[in-house]
Amino acid sequence: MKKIIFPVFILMVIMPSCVTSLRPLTTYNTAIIDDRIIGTWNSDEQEYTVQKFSESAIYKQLIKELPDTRKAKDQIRTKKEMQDSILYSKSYLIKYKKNKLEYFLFGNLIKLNGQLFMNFTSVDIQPLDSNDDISDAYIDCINTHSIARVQFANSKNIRLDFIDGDFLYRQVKAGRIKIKNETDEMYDTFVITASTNDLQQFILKYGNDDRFFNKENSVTLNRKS
Amino acid sequence: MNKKNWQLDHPLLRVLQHLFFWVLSFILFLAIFKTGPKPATVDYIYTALFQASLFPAVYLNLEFLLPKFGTRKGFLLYALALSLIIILFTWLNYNFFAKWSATIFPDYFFISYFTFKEIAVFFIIYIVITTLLKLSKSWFFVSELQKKLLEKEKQKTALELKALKAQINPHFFFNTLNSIYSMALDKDDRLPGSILQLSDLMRYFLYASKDHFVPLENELAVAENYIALQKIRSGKQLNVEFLKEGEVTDQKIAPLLLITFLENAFKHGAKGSSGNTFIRVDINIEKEKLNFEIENNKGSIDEIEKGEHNGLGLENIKRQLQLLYPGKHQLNIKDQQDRFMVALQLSL
Repeated sequence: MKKIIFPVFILMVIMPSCVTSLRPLTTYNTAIIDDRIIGTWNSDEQEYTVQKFSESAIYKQLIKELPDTRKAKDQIRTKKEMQDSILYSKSYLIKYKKNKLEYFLFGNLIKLNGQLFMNFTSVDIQPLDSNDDISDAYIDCINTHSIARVQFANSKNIRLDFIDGDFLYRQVKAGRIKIKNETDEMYDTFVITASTNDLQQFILKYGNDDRFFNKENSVTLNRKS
Repeated sequence: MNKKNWQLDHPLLRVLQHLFFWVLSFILFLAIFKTGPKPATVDYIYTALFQASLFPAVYLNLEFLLPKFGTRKGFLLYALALSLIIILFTWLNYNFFAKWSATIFPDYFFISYFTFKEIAVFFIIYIVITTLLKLSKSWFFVSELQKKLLEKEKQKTALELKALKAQINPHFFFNTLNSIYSMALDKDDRLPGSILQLSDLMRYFLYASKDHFVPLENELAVAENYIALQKIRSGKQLNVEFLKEGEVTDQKIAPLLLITFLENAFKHGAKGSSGNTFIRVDINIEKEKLNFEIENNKGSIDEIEKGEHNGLGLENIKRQLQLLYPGKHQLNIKDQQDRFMVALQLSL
């Protein structure tokens, strides 16, 4: 449980009661690209930057840091993998700064039942002050995923409706929802352990059910640039 | 309806059997489908609905397809109809859980956890299991019916044999008694012996003939008695040759079988002939095999019964042989102008 707390924490910064899943909603074959999401966005005085991961500084740094031998030996494979991989070619990098820390998230889009959904997963946290070092805390953490419904009101506004974790947890406790999960009675938390296919099936069926998307779990992003 | 039939056929028992099957299936499904260590309310609902989706396909197959097309001729049609039913109900199951159930159960959240193929496999397994159960049940029914039929057949055979044996000419006894009466009037020395022979014969006819099989030596002894009495009764000069060869002990034969042939020979030969009468009997026993030959000359004045009783004795014996020695006998009858021959081979 400790392993998943940290990634959860990153997402909790954005949304206090969003649900976390051990499996992603998207797969390489189902992920899509929608570049309308690229840009700098504001919400409640918080600024978010969204860019293609393949165009991000992190990606460029990763390539740069690859050992020369591997680069030479596996150049074609690595390049292709990087272009094709969902992590690189179909992912967006979301950055934001808060409490002297810079947070990095992966965002993957998927269209289900004509509706866009984004799968968020934390990537990294960097201290804004180079003297601080928190990277050790991130080691050995299992990445978890959070899901939000994406609605473009217009080119300047995006609304993200995160799945309401409290609602889901209440249903789990009442025995009203049939989805694989693990609960932690000590901290009274839970994490969804259902497969990606099951997650997609749930979204297909209940993606338009507003009970799953509480207003408190919604964020409206306004385009800054 | 007897007790056995009640056990298999009673509608209440049939309902209980089906109920037991589905309850067992529900428990099994619940154990497979539950999400947590203990089944939640939604697991019960989901399992019940999943199982309910199997009902129509299973019962359509059992109550309609199988009885109507479940034959060798209708197999292709059966397979086609069954495939269509499986596809249709798999589609209904998938869509019900993936889409429609949200309308019926808005406060319970579940999806279709299986692919189309996996659901089809569930249907196939259930249809195969229930078909096999029905077929095995039918097999028990058929087996039971066969037993009953066999029993009835046995009873029928016993009755028929009884009736056939009862057809042994009762006139023989009256005629023999008349002859004995004449002997008594003439103070014939053969009288005591004849009465004893008749007594033995009657005892045999009355008691031994109730059994399906009797010792061969008894049957042969009776045959000899019968010949002796016929000689007395005929009052004519008879040339009877009785040859017997082989081991007769520990062998069994159907009672009155040989007597019927003898009776026939006397009827057609001795009784109908005006003189120079002969009857030749040749019996040979070899390793549980009896060869019986009887030959007699035919009388010029046919005094034998005419009309509906004519040939009744031989027809009677043929039927008895069919009932008692199916596939174990060979009967050849030669009816020539002046003589009548019968050859019988029997596996004892």
